[in-house]
Parts: sequence; structure tokens; C-alpha cells
Amino acid sequence: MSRLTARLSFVLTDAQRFLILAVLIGVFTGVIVVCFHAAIELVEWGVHDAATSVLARVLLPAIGAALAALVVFQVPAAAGSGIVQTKSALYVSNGRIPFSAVPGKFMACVLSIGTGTPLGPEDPALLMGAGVASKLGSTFGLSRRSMRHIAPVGAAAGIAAAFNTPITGVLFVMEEVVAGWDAAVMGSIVLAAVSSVVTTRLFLGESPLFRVPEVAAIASPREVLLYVALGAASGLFATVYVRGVALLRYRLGAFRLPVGLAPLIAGLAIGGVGLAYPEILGTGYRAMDAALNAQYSWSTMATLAAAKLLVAGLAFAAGTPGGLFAPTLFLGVMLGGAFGGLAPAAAPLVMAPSQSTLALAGMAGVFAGVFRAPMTAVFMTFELSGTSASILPAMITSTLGFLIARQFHRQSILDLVAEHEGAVLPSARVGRAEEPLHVEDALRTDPATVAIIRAAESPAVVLSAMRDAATHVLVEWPRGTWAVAPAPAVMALVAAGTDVRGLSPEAGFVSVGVIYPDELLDVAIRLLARAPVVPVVSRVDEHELLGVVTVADVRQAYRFNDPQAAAPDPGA
Amino acid sequence: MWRCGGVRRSLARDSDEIKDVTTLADTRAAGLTSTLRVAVVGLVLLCLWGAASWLARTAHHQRLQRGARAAATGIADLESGRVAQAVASLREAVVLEPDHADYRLALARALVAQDRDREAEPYLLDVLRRDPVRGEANLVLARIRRDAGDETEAQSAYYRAVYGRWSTEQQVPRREARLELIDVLERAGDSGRLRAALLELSSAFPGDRTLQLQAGRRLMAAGFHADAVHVLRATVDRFADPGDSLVLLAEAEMARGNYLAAFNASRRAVARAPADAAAKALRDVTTRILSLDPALPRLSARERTTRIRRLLTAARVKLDACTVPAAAPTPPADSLGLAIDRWLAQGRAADADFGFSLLDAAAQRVRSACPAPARDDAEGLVLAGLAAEGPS
Repeated sequence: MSRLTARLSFVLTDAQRFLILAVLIGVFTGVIVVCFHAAIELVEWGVHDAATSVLARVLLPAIGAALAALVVFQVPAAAGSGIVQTKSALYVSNGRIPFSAVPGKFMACVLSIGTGTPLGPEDPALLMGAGVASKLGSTFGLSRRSMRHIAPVGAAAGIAAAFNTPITGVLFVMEEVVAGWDAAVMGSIVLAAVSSVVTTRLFLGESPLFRVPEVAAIASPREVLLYVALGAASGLFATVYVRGVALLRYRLGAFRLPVGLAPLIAGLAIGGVGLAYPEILGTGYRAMDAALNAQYSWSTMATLAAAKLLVAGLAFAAGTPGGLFAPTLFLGVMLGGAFGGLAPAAAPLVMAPSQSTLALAGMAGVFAGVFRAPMTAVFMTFELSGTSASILPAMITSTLGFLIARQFHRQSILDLVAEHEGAVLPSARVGRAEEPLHVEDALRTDPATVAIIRAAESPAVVLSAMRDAATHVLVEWPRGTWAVAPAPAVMALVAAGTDVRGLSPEAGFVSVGVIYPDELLDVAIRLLARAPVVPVVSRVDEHELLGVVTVADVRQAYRFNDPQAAAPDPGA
Repeated sequence: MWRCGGVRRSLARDSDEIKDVTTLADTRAAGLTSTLRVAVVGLVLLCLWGAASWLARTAHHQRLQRGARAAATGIADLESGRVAQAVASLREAVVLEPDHADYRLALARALVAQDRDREAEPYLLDVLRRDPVRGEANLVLARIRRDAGDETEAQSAYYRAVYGRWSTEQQVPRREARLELIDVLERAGDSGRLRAALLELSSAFPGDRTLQLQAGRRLMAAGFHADAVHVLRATVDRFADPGDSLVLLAEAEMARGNYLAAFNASRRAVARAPADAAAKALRDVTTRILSLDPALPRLSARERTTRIRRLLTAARVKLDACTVPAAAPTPPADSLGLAIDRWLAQGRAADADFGFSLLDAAAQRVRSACPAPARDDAEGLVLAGLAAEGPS
């Protein structure tokens, strides 16, 4: 066995071990998420049976929230939404997430969500997955580069298992955590998400979290107008939600209350609201199921959306452990459902689609607006409904929800939370004003200081090609390879009748690689460390020289020579 | 020097051996550590797997129990007419056990009872997607489609319900499915399918006297008198107490013009229930018909002529009553009337065969000019029967 392990570690590359580990992470995360779901469910039923009086129904969410806050106080790694920690692991701490975050988050969220805190289990599952991945990565001695990517792999496994939707898990992590499309990590993320969902389904079956009835395809162009209106409403609603959560979080944070007191007070308020609207307590999956199956009137759904907005914002702002994924979906479903109930009266000329279809589209719109993840929203809708008919409505609402929410509030809710927690993490939406420079930005098509000659040309042609100001000569050798040499040396050689094809490094020629115009300027800078001139060629024809890049061109592109752009020297 | 060299070589050899041993030890240690790591990870995974199994099983068990409890409450509420409570309980049961088709079906029934057909339909379609031949689900769906005015879809769903799978204790709704299908076919005026459905209803429930009577009655109402007679005769033969079957059989036989059989059936009906006014009326009218019918076999010539005479007199009276007094009599009507009068005036010398021909013509004229005879109008019924048979 030991020989086998040693041989395996010798035979397998880091990338291969990373892939195998991705599957293991998926299985581990899937099993943990099963425990998490089941534990929340069991606590919920226990609370349901115990809450026989009005007082108990008000007190239990408060007690659960306070206990969860105490768990977080004991295990600080379990604090926060989970997504921020995973992003921190990717960008700051080389993939390291304290393993104590996993049991801590598990305990805290089981206590809070199980007793009725109106938050979701998806973001905590994401953190648990990332924590498991980090632990397994360090246990099996992954390289530092692989370790940095291991947290998103676990995060994808966590979110996919919690939501029972593998594509959503992958896309959410790519959009929200990795903040871009990284091919190096994509395969592992997919593997982990699939293996976690398969593991979860072994225990919990294939049923999604809620049942989506048949979705009708868009039947007429007029119907599109309804989705446009819903998308706009989703964007505005998402803005209210994000701003409301941010405001509450800052305001409550300013009070500096003792540990557990803020969640306790928030829990009492939640319990009070829950007396009138029990649907808003806990994850809210049942209420979402009911709304998607057209079991509520539009006024009920509008009221539930308003109540959930209030209590979820309050719970999150008070620091009660739990995720924002489920409340956001809840708000979207209720908004879409209420819109669907109102649509026939408001727009009698338009043949309104079913309330369920609009509820699903509303879910996509609000999700895209809050998390700024429109792709995830579209595919989540598709995975939940199981029909491609849901894609077009979801695309309309999520795109509009995203654009309108971004117009009114640049940051997503996660960026806000990260900022509040003191971290400035990369985001796909919020970038710097200056874009990274590419080779084409520094490309010089007719350089005065560089003479360009072909190796096959005669000495006379070479001499005629030489310019007075040329300091360097760039020579194309056969088979598309290039070399550079000082101009005087080449002049002397040509004057002596030497064939340029016989030129060698000993004669002062340095071989130089080619670059392409669309590459980052960083590539050119690395080549310029070895040669004074770098040729830029076409990607479709390696013999077609588009221009050259020199150090001076790079400096000019970065505006080092511009006195207005130069920063004052602190040492001066 | 040589020795030194030898010592050096020996030391070098020893050093190489030590290095080899150290490398091997490191490799072994590394292998052991890796093995240990794999073993620990495997063990942890095993423990987590066990915990997940236990927790998932416990939660599932709880869900099953609570779902069953909610469903039982909901079904009891539904049966006792508390529909709103039934919907709430059954909804909870469905949420707890989404894959339980019985709960979904019960919820759909409750929603239909609350006139929320549109909401119920997805639940039914879900049940039928998994079990397309489920009789009860098809029946509820058929009712929804029928109420929505979609007769074609309703008929299809009713047929699926009729030929679907039912449990042994679901005979009542199964019967309802057939009866409702018959209603739908009756409304649609599809007599071919209606006849088939009624005959199948009769053959599907041979031990149910009420259904047999209903099938017979509806076959009669739809004009399928021969089929009605067939069903009702079988009912009379099968049951010691045939109920209204004899009266219905008498009516069916009468409608077919089989007055002798009608008389026999009505006589048996009166014998069974002497106070039955309908049976008595049937017996009386069939008795009168039999005493009037000139076409009965084994009648003497004199008796036949007497019957023709009575019927021609009745036909003359009817034709006089049916003809509009203000209007001038048409030549043929007039000539038929004169011929009847002349034949009646001939007394015993009149030709019986000519009288029968006159009777045929008078019967045809009465059928075209007069309304259909009443149930107790024996002369009218005999004339109608003769007209239906055509000229002899």
C-alpha cells in the first residue's frame, strides 16, 4: 500500500492529483451537505413540535440565533457569508481556510436556520465545501498554485450539493468567486460539482428543492413586454434589498452590542413577524414551492416578499449565521408571483403567461440583480424547471435586473459584505477604470531605430534596408525564427561580404521569440528582458511582421514619459 | 596512501550505503505518511457517510410519518366537506412527500372540490406522467376538462379512466367514470359511442341491478329499444327481485311494437307488485292493443273484420280531429274518408282484405297528419304500429 501511494505520488503530476482530489472534495462535501440538510430539517421539526404557545414561537428563533452567534464567537472562522472567505482564500491566503470553519458553520447554521432564522443554507454549504477542499489540499500536499484554486472547487461542490443543481454551482462559483473564466480550474470545478450532486442524490433523491410546474414558452411578442416590466421591477427590488441590507448592517454595526444580543433582538423581531407570516421563517422553500405552484394570491405574495425583505435583511445585518441565496430566491419568486397575479388586471390586452412562469422569471431577475450573476440566474432557472422554455424569460428578466441594479448600485451584495468585513476582493463587475495593456497598445509599425531584413536577401538589399538611425537589426531566419543584433556589427559583417545566413550568436545575434498583438504587454516585457527588440507577427501568417516592440515603446504605452501622468516621487 | 585511499573508498562506500538507507527510510516514511493520510481520510469519509446515512434516514422517516399524518387528516377533512382544511393538510403532505402520487392526487381532488381546477391540473398531470393508466387521476382530469368545456379532451380522459387501473375498493368512482362518460356522450349526441358505452356499462357490472336498470332506461331513451330489451331481459332473468325491470321491459317491448311480450312483462310486473300503477297502466293498454290488433295470428275472419272496423272508425275520428276545419279537404283525403265511410257502411258484407288495405292507408295518413299517440291511446298505438310496418 505504502509503495503504491509513493508510486502514485511520483507518477501523478500536481494537476492530475488536483483532478482526483476534486472528485474526493465533491464526495466529502456532498456527504457533509446531506448531514447539514438533514440536521436543519430535524431541528425544524423539533422546533415545530416544541412551539406550542405564542411565546415559544417568538422566543425559539431568538434563542436559536443567539446560540448560533455564540458558536460563531467561539469559532470566528465560521463568521460571515462564506463567499467572502472563499474569495479571500483564493486571492489572499493561498487557498487556506481554517478547518474549524466547517464544524463551526455547520453548528451555527443548523441552530439558526433550524429554529427559524430566515436565511439560507447554500452560502454556508459553499464555505463548508471550500473548507473541506482546503483541508484535503493541504493534507495531500498540493502545490501553492493548486492550493489557491482548491477553495473555489470546494465552493462549487458546496453550492451544487446544497441546491441540487450542478450547473448552477459551477456557474455561480465562476461568476462570483473566481470572478472570471479560468480554464485551469474549470474542469476541477465541474468534477467536484458533479460528484457532490451525485453523492447528495444518493441520500436525498433526485427531487429539486421545490417543484416547478410546466413552464409555457413565450407565445406572442406582447408577452415579452411583461417580462421586460418584470425585469425592471426585479432590478429595482434588488437595489432596495441590497441598499437596505447595507444600511442595516452599517447601522447595527455602529451599536457595538454584546455578543449574541443583536441576533437575539433580531430573532425576537423575526419570531414576532413569523406569528403572522410563518412562511417567511427558515429557508422558505415550502413557501416558494407553493408560490411556484400558484397557491397564493398576488397580495399574499407581495406581503410575503415585503416581510421576507425585512426579516432577512435584519437577520443578516445582525450577524445571524446563514446565507443570502435562499432569501434572494424567495424574494424573486414572490415578486414574480405577485406580478403574475396583477398582470391580467394591469395589462388586459396582453395574454399573460402563467403565474408560475412569471414567478420563475422573477426569481432569475432578482437573483441577477442582487448577486450580479445573470448567467447563474438563467441556468438555475433552466435546471429547476427542466425545460428550455424557461430560458428566454429568465434571460430577459435577469439581464434587465442585472443592468438596472448595477445602474443604481455598483456593488453586489457580496462586494458590500466583503467591504464591510474589511476586504477588497476582485470582482467581475467592479474593475479598475484602466484596462490592462496589450501588445497592440505599444506596437510600432515603422520603427526608426530598427532595421528589418530577411535572411535570404543579398548584402546589397540588406545595406539598402539599413537606416541611418538604426541601432538594431532584426533578422528573420528561415522557418519563422527571429534574431536581433546591434546595427554596427551587422553593417561590418555585410560590408565584409558575409552571408547573413551564416550569422550566429557569436557574431552578436540573439534569438528572440515572436509575440502577437492581442497578447498582454506583460509577455512583451518578459521577452524584452532578453532582447532589445521583439517582433510582432500575425497569428494567421508567421512571416507577416506587423511591427516591433521596444522598451521605449513599452514606457510610452504605460506613459512613463508623460509628466502629467507620472506620480510624484515620495523620495524626492 | 593506498590504505588511505582504501579507507576513503570504504568510507565513501559506507556513506553511499548510509545515503541509500536514508533515502529508503525517507521513502518508506513518506509512503507510510501518505498511507496514513489516505487511511485517515478514508476513515473520516466512512464516518461521515455513516452519519449522513443515519441523519438522512431519520429525517426521511420523520418526513414519511408527518406526511402520512397530514395526508390522513386532509383526506378525512375532504370526506367530511372541510375542503379548505383538507387543501392545507394535503399541501403539507405533498411538500413533505413530493413523490407520493396518492397525496398529489388527493390534493388535486381537494382543489377541484374548492373550484380551483386550474391549480389542480398540474398535480394530476404529474401523477399521470408517472402512471398514465391510473383510473382515478384520469377521472378527476376528465371532470376538469368537462367543466372547462373541452368535450373532446374530456371524452379521452373518461375513456382512459374507464379502461384504467382501479383498486378493488374503488368501484364507486369507477362506476361514476362510466356514467359521466355516458352523460358526456349523450350531450355530444354521439349515439354510436353512447350505445357502446351503455352496453359496456351493463356488461361491466352484471351484478349491479341499479346499473342494469339505468343502462336499460338510457338505452330506451336513446332509442336503442332492442338493446334495452336485451339488457332488461337479462336483468329479469338474473335477479330474483328484478325491481322495475319488468315494467321497463314492458315499455321497451311496447316501444319495439312487440305488444304480446309487453303484455306478458307488464302482467308479471302487476303480479309482483299489484299496486304498481305504471305496470297496471301498461298491462291495460297492452291488453287493449292486443284486443285491437288485426294482424295477430289465429284470429277468425269475423274477429279480424270487427277489429278492422273499430280501427277504421278510430282512424276516421282522428283524421277528422287532426284536419284543420277551415281548410278545404284535399281530394285524396276526401276520397280516403269516403272510401272508409263506404266500407264501414257495408256492414258484414264488407271485404276484409280491402278493409285492411284501407286501414294501412288510414294509418299512414294518421301518422303524417296527427301527433304521435299517447302512451294509453291503444287505437293510436296500433295505427302507429301498422304505419311503421308499411302497406301490406
